[in-house]
Amino acid sequence: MDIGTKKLKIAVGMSGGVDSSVAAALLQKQGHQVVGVTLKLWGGQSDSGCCSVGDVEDARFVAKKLGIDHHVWGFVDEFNSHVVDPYIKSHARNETPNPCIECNRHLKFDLMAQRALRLGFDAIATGHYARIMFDDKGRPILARSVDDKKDQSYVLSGISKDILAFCRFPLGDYNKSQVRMLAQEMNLLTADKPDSQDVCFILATGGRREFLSDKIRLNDATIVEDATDEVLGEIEGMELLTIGQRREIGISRYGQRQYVLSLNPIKKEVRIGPAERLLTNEIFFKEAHFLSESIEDNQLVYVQVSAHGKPIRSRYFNSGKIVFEKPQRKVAPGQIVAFYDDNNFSVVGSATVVDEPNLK
Amino acid sequence: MGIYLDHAATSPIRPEIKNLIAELYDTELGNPSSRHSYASKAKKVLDDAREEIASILNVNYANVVFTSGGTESDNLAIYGTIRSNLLEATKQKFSTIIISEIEHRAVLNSADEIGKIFQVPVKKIPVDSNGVVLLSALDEILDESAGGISKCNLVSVMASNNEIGSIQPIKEIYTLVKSANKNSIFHSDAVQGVGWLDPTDIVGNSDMVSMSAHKLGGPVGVGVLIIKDDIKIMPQIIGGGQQRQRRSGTNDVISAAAMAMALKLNSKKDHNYFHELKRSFLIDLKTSVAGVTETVPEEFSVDGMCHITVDGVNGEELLFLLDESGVAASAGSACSSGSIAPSHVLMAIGAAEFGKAFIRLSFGWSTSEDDLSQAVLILKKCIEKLRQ
Repeated sequence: MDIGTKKLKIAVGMSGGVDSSVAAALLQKQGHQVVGVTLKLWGGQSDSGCCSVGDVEDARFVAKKLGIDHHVWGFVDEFNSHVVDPYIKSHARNETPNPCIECNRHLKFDLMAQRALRLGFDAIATGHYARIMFDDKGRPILARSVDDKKDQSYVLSGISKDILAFCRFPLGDYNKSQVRMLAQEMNLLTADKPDSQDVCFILATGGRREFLSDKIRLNDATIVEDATDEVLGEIEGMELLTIGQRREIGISRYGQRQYVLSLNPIKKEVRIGPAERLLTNEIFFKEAHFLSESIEDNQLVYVQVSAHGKPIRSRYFNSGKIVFEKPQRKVAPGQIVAFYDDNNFSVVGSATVVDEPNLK
Repeated sequence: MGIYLDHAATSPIRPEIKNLIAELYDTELGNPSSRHSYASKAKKVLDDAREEIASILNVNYANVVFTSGGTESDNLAIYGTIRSNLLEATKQKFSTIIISEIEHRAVLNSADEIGKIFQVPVKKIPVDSNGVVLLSALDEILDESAGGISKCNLVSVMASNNEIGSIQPIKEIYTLVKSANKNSIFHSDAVQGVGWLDPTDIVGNSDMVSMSAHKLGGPVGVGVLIIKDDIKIMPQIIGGGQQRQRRSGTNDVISAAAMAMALKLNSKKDHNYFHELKRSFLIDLKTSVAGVTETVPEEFSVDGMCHITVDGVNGEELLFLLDESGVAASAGSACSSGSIAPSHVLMAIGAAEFGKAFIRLSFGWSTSEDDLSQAVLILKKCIEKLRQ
């Protein structure tokens, strides 16, 4: 493949922040025809997230600076159906959803790539820290960034195999400080925004509780000490809790911090205990999808269960189970587990964590 | 050169108006409110403009208030009249604000806002599928809103819609409003309509009318609000009391002259030419590309606007390809972020549907037959590409 030399027409997803601005600038320097695109995803209120008017203005400003065209592509209905509705339903099932991964999968990549293809683009690009590389058969693989700390391959792990070859991640070969330096050199530090965080369609002031309270029923639950079965108190809105959480529980026992160990929506019961009780040897998953050939049963893999979580050496089982080499903290159902190859180099696939074996 | 089919958003400035503005900037004009020869020159330019507009619209020159454009005119009309509730010696005590549900945001949001502040209920007249207000519905609303002998209504209905071009029965509306209560006030936003309908008809059947220069090939930033003799309004902009206490601030005489010229040139427009232009464009387009229809049938919309529904493609994508091919058009109304939001107008006529593109092509003084025959070819190419 002549990826390095061919001049392409590339749609770059731009938020107005440093990363996507530098990504666009780098591709432009390589001689590609770059067009900036900001996705308008959320029709409601937001703090700044990835879909506010302010972001569109920032992105437009950067595009003007680079001398490239800028467009806003609206996917408000699709964002609701692929991201917001599933997020609400997942909470109603006492799970801990990861809307950013869903958004990356369906909106930032699938829909954006499909539209870009229809409009005659050769590729789409974003400012994510990850690399597209090619295996010995010339097939694209999604590899970790050279910057361990910034690596974002986890949040990209849900994108579909078909569009991988259509994506470019120009920042994957740089670390964050190099990107900041490039931004400075290219005079692109105008929008020195903090990295986007939390759920973009939820206001910081009201939080998840306010967002969810008029959409689903938030149930009260009793707090039970796991070791003794002793009832320790009550909590409002068990749907807002997540396994492994200790904040908002407000209980300390024997001078030890207490964590949510399990949630039982039928009994309306939250079981808590000290950190060591969170440890488990295995997790279960459903709806696995693969970016490369699927994995062999009992294969050695590395798994990652949160955006900046550390890779865990594990064994993969086709039945829908991951067995950790050493005990790890439990993972809340609804979270995404990404599978990496046995060198912890590239993403093999990802799946959704469930709390019990996936009985087909 | 591209093909500019977005005159309803803004029309390119006409060369005659550009020349006039340049000439006037070369003339030593003072502040028209001062007392020297420079001021007198400025005052003459302003008075001439006012008189010219008054004569075109068949009103008294004192009825012409210059504003910064259509939005300010609408705001002044709605805020100004409702706030006049505060004046003691007035017959105008408003019980209800009545507007059509397809008004421009300048009217829609002003009415909602002032209604909230003054606790005057805002009622919306529904439209039919052609985007024309239902007179029977207005009649019912007027009945419900009678509100006693000292109360009246403020009614605002646009002359023609800014998105789909639908023409409103202004005369019938005016008659209904006045026969329900002669003290009620009728305002019409004619920012889009004045270019395509008889302006004297609109003004003759309204108490207040908003207009804007830049939709007619004049500059952005100037408009007028026609206010008939016996209508009391409170000013929105307070200061030196210019324009008979209705709109303070030093008069922008050059813009006023440009506004007058825009209206004058508009009154000489060959309406048959545009009627034929639109008719043949539609025939040409519909025979060349399948699955394209007029959102509003020709007979219900103005000649300067062609709103089409295209099956099986996305509006943003079609606009993108059109723009790449040099055709400037528009879809729905753009929201502040630049993305195309579902439009309240399309919702009101029941046309908003997923999987269809809604494209507004709007014509003006510079539109040629050649532009439109090329536009058909480009539309065909872009639509077919997206349908692949």
